[in-house]
Amino acid sequence: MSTPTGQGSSFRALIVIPGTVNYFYNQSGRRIGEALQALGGAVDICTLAECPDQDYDWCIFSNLTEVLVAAGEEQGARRIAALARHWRHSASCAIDCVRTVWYERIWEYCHRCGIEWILDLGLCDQSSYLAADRRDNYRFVFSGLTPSEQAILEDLPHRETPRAFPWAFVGHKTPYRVALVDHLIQSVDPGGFIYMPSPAPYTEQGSPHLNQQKFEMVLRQTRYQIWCSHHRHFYMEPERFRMSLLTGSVPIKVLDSCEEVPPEACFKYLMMEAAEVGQRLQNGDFQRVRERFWCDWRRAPLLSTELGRILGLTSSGANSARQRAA
Amino acid sequence: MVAQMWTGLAQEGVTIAIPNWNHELLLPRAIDSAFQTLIRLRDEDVPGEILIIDEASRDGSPLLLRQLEALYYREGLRVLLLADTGTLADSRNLALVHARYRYIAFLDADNELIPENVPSFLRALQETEAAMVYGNLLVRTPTSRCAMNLLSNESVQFKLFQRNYIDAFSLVDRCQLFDLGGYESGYRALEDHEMWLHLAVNGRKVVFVPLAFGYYYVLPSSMATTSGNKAMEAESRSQRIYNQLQARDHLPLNTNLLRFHPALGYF
Repeated sequence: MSTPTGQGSSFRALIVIPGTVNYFYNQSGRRIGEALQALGGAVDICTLAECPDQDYDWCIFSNLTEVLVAAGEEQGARRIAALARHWRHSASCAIDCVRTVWYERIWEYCHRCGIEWILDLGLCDQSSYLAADRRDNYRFVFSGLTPSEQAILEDLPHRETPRAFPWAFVGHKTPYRVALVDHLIQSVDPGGFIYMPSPAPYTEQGSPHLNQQKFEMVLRQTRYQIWCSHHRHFYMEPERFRMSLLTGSVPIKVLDSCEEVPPEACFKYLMMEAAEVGQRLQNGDFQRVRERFWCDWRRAPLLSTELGRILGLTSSGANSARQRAA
Repeated sequence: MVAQMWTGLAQEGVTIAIPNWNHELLLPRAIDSAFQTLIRLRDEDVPGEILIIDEASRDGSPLLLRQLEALYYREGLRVLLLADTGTLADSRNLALVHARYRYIAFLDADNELIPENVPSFLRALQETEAAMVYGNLLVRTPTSRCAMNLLSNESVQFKLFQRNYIDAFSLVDRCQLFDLGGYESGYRALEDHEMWLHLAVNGRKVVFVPLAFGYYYVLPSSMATTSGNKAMEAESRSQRIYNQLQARDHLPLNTNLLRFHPALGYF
């Protein structure tokens, strides 16, 4: 995907996606691309192998680990080194808990490849969980809506329509998650949608798992999307919240303890301990909770606003790539 | 016998077949879940019955079953008491022969159905015209307060030719299993795995439904935990029959990745 790079563009950005491996990083790259276009930028989105030899103000990897896995680690790193002269600034996005090995791996690859920043596309700033030497290149970006997602939200019907599944649990199988699902069957409703395959890459085509389109199809028939992290740290999975929003379901994040929730976190009413879930979901206020959730999203910053603020991109700003090329 | 077979083949409804071998103490839980399932099915005008096949148990099972049959025959409970212990495949084949209805839910005597969800599995079986549908089985131990593992939790994929992850605890179309000759009685373990492979390579649909079908209990000294050598023997036999040349990954498979729910269709 690319957009015209004519005179009207205030800056140029290259978004590098894995293309294969886990589809949600491709989607995350496309979301960033859409948000940057809304800021007036000219955006190219491609895999590492397809990157053009052109100059850009920003190159953003979605995300660097997945891009390197898709391209081959050594070969990919060499390609990045060869391309780096074409961009003024670089970053990798992350949609991970910073206290996990997945974030650490992104940090290490960024360090190795000379990528300046890690953009944490999330719902809650995680900088306080990072060691001092890991904070310099961390930037929290509230993962707000893109223009097309705003339009979807405004088109959602406000009246409650019948949904086949009282709840849905989608995520790979772990003993803790299985125990939680058993609890949901017993305390909420036995008719929940359960899809818990063994871990494997989540690709857009040919995967045994649910891709974006199929997951949305399920959530459009679901009242509550329920999940818990597959690690024991506090984290608000932004894709889960956003997908629930855009499909008219309500996200419920199950925590070991609500004491983990930082005071500044949003959507606290959607995070609860397993013991509370039965009572909270059976009291029949789905519609009220959903309206509140929608209102809160409408008040939240847009992804373009956040990216503009963090990356210093304004309509009058960085057109330096063209100047440099000239 | 052939005439007897055909009596029930066309009758829409569900037979819950429970093979039992010395599970006197666990049978009531399985039978209770089966009765609750019949109630759910009758709410949707689907007739049903419970057929228990006792494989020459030596514990108190036969006496218990005769008493239960005397009490609940009118509610649809029937018992076949076998004089000899055969294989599970033999018991399942007997269920295919003696069932009154077209669809059979196989429930082991130590397991438990989730009654509320069985009507959705039946609709899935009817709408897809599959040979078999199955769904998540929550694995518990006798003392655990909640499940710690899942079985039958993924669609059929080529990895099924390497190892089994789909249990016999499922809902089958008796006509289609008959059509393909029933269970292979030469198997002393993993007869269910052999059946899934048999169905798959013969172009039949084996479909995953994303609901909980039941509870699967892991018990000390159960057949599943003590049949090591038999299982290895069965695995190598299935490898020889179905994937001797390791070529299945390159061949088409009608049932690959089939997932269905009546509210979603295929997804």
